Amino acid sequence: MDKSIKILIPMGGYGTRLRPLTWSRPKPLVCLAGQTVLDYVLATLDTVPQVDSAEFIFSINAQIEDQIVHHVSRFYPDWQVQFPIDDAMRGQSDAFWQAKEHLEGPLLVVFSDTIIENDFSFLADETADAVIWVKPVPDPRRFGVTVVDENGWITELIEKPDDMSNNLAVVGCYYFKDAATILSAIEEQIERELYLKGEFFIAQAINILLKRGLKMRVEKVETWLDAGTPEALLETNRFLLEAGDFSSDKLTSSENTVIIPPVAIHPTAQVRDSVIGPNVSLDENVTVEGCLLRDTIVGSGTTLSQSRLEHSLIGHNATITGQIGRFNLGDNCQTEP
Amino acid sequence: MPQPLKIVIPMAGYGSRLRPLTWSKPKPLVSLAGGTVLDQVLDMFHSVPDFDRAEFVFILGPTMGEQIQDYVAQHYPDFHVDYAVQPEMKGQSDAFWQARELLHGPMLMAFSDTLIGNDFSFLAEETAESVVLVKPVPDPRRFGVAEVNKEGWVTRLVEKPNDMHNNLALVGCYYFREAEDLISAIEEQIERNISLKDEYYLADAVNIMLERGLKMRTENVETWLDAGTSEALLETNRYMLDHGKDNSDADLNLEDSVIIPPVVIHPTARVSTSVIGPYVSVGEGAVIQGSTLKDSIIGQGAHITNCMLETSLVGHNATLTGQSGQFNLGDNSWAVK
Repeated sequence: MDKSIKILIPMGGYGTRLRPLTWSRPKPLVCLAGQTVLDYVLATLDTVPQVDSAEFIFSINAQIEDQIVHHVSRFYPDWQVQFPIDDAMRGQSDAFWQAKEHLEGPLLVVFSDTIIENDFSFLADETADAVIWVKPVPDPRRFGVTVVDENGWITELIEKPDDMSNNLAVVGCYYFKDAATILSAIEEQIERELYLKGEFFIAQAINILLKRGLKMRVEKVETWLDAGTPEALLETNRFLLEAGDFSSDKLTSSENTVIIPPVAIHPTAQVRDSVIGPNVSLDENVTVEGCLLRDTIVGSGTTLSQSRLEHSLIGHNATITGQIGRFNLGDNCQTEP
Repeated sequence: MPQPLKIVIPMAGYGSRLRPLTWSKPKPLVSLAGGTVLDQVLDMFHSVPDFDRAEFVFILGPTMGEQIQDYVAQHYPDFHVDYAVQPEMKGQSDAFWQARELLHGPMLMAFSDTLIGNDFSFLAEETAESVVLVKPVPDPRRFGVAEVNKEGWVTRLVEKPNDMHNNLALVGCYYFREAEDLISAIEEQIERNISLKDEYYLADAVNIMLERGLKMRTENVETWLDAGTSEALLETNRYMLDHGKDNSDADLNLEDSVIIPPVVIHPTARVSTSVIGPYVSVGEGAVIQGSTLKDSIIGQGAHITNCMLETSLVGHNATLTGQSGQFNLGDNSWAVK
């Protein structure tokens, strides 16, 4: 790669399946294993060649702009990030199109809920025109899949195939040697109105390129984590906590408390008279008193007391007192016995 | 034929004191006493003279305003409603300024979280240029009050007075014979930058009008209800169920259940083996099984099973199973034992 790479992350979706958490925040900023979904997506990009000179393009909508910009300026102050606004929200291809003035040269695209484990350093010597990341899955029928010819080149992308013959599911990560190629296909897609249920899908633009003879190959990933539903978020939380290096000794204010690893507890959290873990993530300024917590993600500023929670997602600034069970509660919820 | 009365309702506020319910909907669409806050606000105006000719002006915020437009189109298709948008939260006067093109002739305004019980038929023969609705309160120091001279004319509006001798609290409802006079005063207010914490308050514009010689009298209201906080919403729900909103005599979808009036239960809600009331409002399509509910507002499509709830606000499509206590939960929350 001669030019510095552009990394596009479309994040305009509504995150409907993660309600109620996403009523008050964009899906990329939902808490996960001590950080946010976005932080984990960005962490996977560490191995991109010359990532320090990469320019990031976060495609957002006006509603989430303040929160995303605030997060980036707080945690990634030195990064070069552009924030094109895609208010029409006409689908994936449209997110590219609205960002087109920022897209030139080599382009890596990662959707904001795609967390994969992958070493991107091969991109330095990549010879194909394009690469699409896939994971072999037992039942591909609810995914998009790639059809590959005998030489390993992709011939077609198929959305939700009827049969099981192609099991390479598209994970939501793409590389194009030249952004102009995919933009020209999107232009054709928009002109020909190739959309599905009111949305322009990037798979259709890629199919246009494949017909034109684009040389695209697959790159297989072993680990593809989903953060799109409450169950998937908790499962991904467990995976990341087990895989990560979360030392509970950072806990500065714990009194009379048992920690069952793995857990991720923010140093500003205060915990007393509680049993925390396994698989618990406590964000900034969480207060826990007299609780048993397992398999649970708790947002910043929340106070939990005299409760037993498992398999739960609790938003920010909530107050939970005297409850037992599994909960999925958004920001500012309150419960009392 | 005189100009039609404009009934102006600013509803751009974020409703942050009503979170978590207002994460997903604007404050006027929060459930209250068998309808929404907006339904109850619109009910207040039926006594205005020539109501059928009245023209509403709703001033919406930059987000979620389309929910209000959809609601009005569905529930009030015969109302004449014009919309303005207040893009930034710069105060009450700014809201009217944004709507100035729509404001001509006689105008009545009320805020979307203020519910008053008042007979507006006096407006047919009103001779004053302006009327401010007030309620005498024991301690006026946390309210705005109207100072009145010997002849009964308002001389000044005072925010949070230090002393107790003016006890006529402003309820947030005004009549102006000429909307243009208000707009002209707001123009002066903005030019002179009479604001507090970047917000232009209506009281300051009214004081400009009074300085210019406006003849404004007070009108005492009988009841003044607030729907701006969770506690106030439940209190207002109780009041309204006590005063005409109860439908416990209606043909309801009940099985093996006890109703303790007053309650308002949507005919499409299904209640089985439960004790409901007093002071419970159950929304469209809600399903209540094996539960006791009192002093609560249950949103549309909520499922409440084997719970004991009191003093609770439960949002739309929330699911609660095996819980007891006081809850304030937004839309799509869930809590499962």
